[in-house]
Amino acid sequence: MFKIIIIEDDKEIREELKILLQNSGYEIKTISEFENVDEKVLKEEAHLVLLDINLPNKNGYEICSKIRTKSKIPIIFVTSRNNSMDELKGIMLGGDDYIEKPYNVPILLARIQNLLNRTYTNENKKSKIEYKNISLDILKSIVNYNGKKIELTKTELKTLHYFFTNTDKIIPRADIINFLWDNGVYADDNSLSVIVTRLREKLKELGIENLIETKRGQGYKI
Amino acid sequence: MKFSKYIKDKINFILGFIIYCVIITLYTNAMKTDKNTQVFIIIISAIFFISGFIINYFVKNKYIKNIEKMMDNLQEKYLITEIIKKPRREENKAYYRILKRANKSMLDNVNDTKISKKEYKEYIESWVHEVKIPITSAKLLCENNKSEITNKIDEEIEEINNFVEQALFYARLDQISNDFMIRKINIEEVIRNIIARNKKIMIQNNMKVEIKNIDISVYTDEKWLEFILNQIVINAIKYKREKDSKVTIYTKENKENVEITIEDNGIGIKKSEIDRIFDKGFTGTNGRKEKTSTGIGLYLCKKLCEGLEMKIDAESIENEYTKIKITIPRNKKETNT
Repeated sequence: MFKIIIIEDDKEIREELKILLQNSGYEIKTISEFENVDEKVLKEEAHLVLLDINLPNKNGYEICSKIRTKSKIPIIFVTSRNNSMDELKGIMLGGDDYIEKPYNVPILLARIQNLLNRTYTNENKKSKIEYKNISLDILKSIVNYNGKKIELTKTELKTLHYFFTNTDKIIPRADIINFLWDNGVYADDNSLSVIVTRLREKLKELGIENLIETKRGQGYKI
Repeated sequence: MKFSKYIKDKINFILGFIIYCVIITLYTNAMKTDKNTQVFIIIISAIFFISGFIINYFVKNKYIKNIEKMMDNLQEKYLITEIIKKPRREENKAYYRILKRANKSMLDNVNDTKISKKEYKEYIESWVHEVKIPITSAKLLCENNKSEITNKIDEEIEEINNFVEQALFYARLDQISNDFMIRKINIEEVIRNIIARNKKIMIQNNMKVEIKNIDISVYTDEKWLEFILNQIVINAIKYKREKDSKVTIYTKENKENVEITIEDNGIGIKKSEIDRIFDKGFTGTNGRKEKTSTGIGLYLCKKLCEGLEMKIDAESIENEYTKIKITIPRNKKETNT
């Protein structure tokens, strides 16, 4: 599990961000005393730092350059200053990314994920998911079942991936649509039905039937 | 200064000279001076008077022309008193002093206004910075406590955020060049960010989004482009049609520029109003139906586009579609690589 340090002086943001990132499967450490922040960060041995710029005592820039003298840990600046010069300064001082407040949550999560993937390649990264002997190869976009395989489109892959990670419960249509939008597929209600129909046809070719159940007025279940 | 005008100005001198001639004539007559002496006196006086008169005209004319020329070469006309030489004549000195004083008081006034404008801008910047903190925590609270209500609140907060951004960009308008950072950016990334920002309201209204051929890089300022395109997408959502509403975003690469078009199938813009949609404060028929229309969004888009040397055009048929096209020039650096 990746460990992220949040350095943020606004209590509300700090706590809510902690909950949000914990829900997304990260281990979180927050810093609320702003003395010797750099030492605290280095001691934690985390995988990534979310760093605010306006802080009591030393500001985020100073903390960043102090950390950089000793460590290459990925740092994302998170700030409500949206000035080009601020951003430039952040990057020059060794920040890896710069995100403005208020951030869009899916974008924030995607940027964190990207940076982690870039820094720690293939660690903790699953390329295959299995469910009821059906194996989904995410990198190759292929479904394997009983030695037979079929290729999926990007949209189908994302949808099936979402089903596989949310098994044994009813998934509301709205949640699937939301997930697809977060992943760059802008499906409306009708197109979701089309996607699921195609997915069922493809699974049928492999001999899988009734995997995706329709729950009338609620959504789907596998 | 024309000579005829000069004569008109000095008419009392001329009258004075005529009176002088009459008095001299009367006096010499009374003294019984002979005619030749009389004529001699008058002619000598006339020569002195007329030559003095003409020389004076040329000197003054040259003086004024000189100042006018300096004035023409000066960008800030009001700085003229700083560059003209201090005059030697007492009369001109008086004018010079008066002009200096008037100018100083004007400059003081202008400076005061500049300072207070700058302070106001700084205040807006820091206010925006402050207000974004509670906006951020409110958005996080919505995200961590998902329900139908928090979804709606989140939409409202996004709207507040948009207004706050408008205020910030408005405040920065007159110092556009200080604030942007031109670099290579990917249009697709910007568009995806914008769709993510407006995701909730679009899904709720079952809107379709189609993007075509947008994986293109351009050289411009990312924040500004995102702000501009976001304003246009917000309008496309605001003025959508009731059913089957759709936004299509696509680009076209030309030799000298890249065009980004945002097309909706919404209620469109009246033909009589389309030329005014980028005017400040213009809300139009559509805007007046929407209580949140301020007539600032598109005005800002236009101004920011001008600042970044981009072009923005609108095309629409009422009740059919609206197309907004942004044209971003390619620079030499880009065509070389």
